[in-house]
Order: sequence, then structure tokens, then C-alpha cells
Amino acid sequence: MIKRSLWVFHLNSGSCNGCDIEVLNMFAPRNDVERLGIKLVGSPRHADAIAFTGPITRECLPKVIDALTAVPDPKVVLAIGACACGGGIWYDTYSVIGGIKELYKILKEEYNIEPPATVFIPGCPPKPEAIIYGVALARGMLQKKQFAQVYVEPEESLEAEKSRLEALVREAKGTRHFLPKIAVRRV
Amino acid sequence: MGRLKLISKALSIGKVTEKYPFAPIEVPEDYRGKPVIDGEKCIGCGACANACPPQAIQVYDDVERGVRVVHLFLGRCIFCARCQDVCPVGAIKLTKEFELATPDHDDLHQVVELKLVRCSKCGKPFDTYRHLIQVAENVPPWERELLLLCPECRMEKTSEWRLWGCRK
Repeated sequence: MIKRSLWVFHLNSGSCNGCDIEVLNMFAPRNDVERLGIKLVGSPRHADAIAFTGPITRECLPKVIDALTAVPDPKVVLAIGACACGGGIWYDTYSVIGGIKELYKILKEEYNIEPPATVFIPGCPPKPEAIIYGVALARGMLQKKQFAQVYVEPEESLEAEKSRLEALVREAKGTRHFLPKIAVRRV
Repeated sequence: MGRLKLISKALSIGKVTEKYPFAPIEVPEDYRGKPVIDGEKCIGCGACANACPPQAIQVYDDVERGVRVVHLFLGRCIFCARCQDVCPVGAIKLTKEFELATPDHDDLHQVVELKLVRCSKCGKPFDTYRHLIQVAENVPPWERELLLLCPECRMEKTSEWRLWGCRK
């Protein structure tokens, strides 16, 4: 990860502009990221990082690849929003590639380019603070807080559930379905 | 507005920039952040997967291992809280956590694995223990007879009953 000031090129690959507004919001006075040395630049050749938004439509795939390859190494890709991280609600639509992982697969198979270091920032759209957190992570200022969680049902609770289910079914053995009792209320 | 007035205005407002990465920040009251599945409570009914618009939660059966897998991929989640609304046992909750950024794609997955019940007739795994208990508690006792059968065997049984005209 890059320790110096990041210059960011904003690359929109068919996003709905929600994430783009949040990216621009970072540069507004409220959470002013220029205090961290982060600056938006107009050309990928000047940039260290790419603020990547959108699910990558088919139409802009060649342009995205051009822009990615134009960034000099070492580079960081900030995949911002649900669309860039995993395709979002368009993950299986015919006209989109579906997330940055699929783009890396295409880069690897067809152009033989190794995928650059990537920071995934989920959210739809992510808060500006969440993006700042991702940028701080990319610069190595903070530790990550998100980890994978796996829960496997333990054996002890399984035994209890088995006996509970058997008891419920056994309890039902003797009962029969009659007509519901009609309660007569005396006036 | 003259320049002097502008300066006085700026001075009266003062500093608005937040010190976010170095100081914590408060999120609004009803902010929808990272969804968390409580494995202790989850019954594996699949209502959340049915309601999820981007199919970030997927529920599928792994028949070989005999488990039902509830798989949440945070990267695709749009934080709409429909899963929280439909969950019958309140196992899935949206927290106020928003710092989800990670350099590793595998950190964005949450998996809950629940054991499946085998059908008492044909031995095929078909439903989780917790889901069956939940169903058994909510139906009248005379309806519990067929609970331990898989859907196919249940269909056979009920058609037999239809044929003979009674429960034998």
C-alpha cells in the first residue's frame, strides 16, 4: 500500500451517480480530504489511485481497461459501492460485467495483466466517512475492522433440538382433529 | 456582499471540517449499516433470501454434507433492511457499523451452517431442525404427523389418504 499522498482519478463505469456524489462530497469542506493529501486529478497518468464506481457496463469495458493500464505502478484501486464490489443489483444483468472481480478475471485471461491492490468499500452508496476510512486503510493509517464470520451449528444444541422435535411429534401422537369448540356466551 | 462582510461571516461560522479518521463519528439515529446474522437464532427458513433485492443473501442446501448454508455477501448488499423486516425470529439485524472497507475480498462473507433433518421414510435431508421446531410449535398437534417427511413422501402419504378416504 502507498504511504505517500494519494492522487485519485475518478473512474465511473456506468454508475447511477450515487457513489459519484459521495466521492465529490469527500472534497467538500465538511470532510475535507485534502488535509490527508488526497487530490482529484483529471488524467489517469497523474494518478496513484483510482476511485472506481459502477458495475462496468459492456460499452465502457475497453475504456476502463485503457484507464486502468494508463495508471503507473504502484497503484491502488478503491472499489466504491455495491456495484463495484460485487455487481450490486445488476450482478447478473446481460449488459454489465458485474463487479471488479469479473473485470480482473478478464484482465488476467485476455490481457495477461496482474490485478492491482484493491480496497473494497461496500455500501449503496457508502457514507463519505466510509470512503475516507477505505482511503486511510489504503494508506496504512488504520487497521481493518471487517472480518469474515462463519457459524457452524454446534453438536450440543443439535442434540437438544433433536429431543425437542421428537417430544413435539410424540406429544401430537394421541391427539385427533375434532370440530372446534363453540363457546356459547350467556347473555 | 462585500469582502469584509464575507470574512466576518466566515469567522462567525468557524471550522466545519470533521476530524473523522482520527476521531470517531456519530451516525444518525436510524442509520442502516452492516447486517449481522445471529447464528444462534437463525432457523434457516430462507425468508431473507426471498426478500433480498440483489440476492446478497443466498440460502441453499448442501446435500452431501447435510447442511443448509445461509450465505451473506456484504459486497453486494444495498442495506435496504428488508431481511430484517421479514425475519420471523429476528436473527438478522442491521447494526450502525459503516467501516466495512477491506483489502481482502473474502472478509465480506458471512456464513451460517445449520444441520438438516433426514426424512424418516426415504432418508433424504430436507429441512433444518430449528425450522421444523418453529413450525411444530405453531401448528395444532394433529397437523404434526407429517412433519418428519420430505415433501415428496408427504405428497405420497396425503394422496394415499385421499385414495382410502381416511387417515390410516
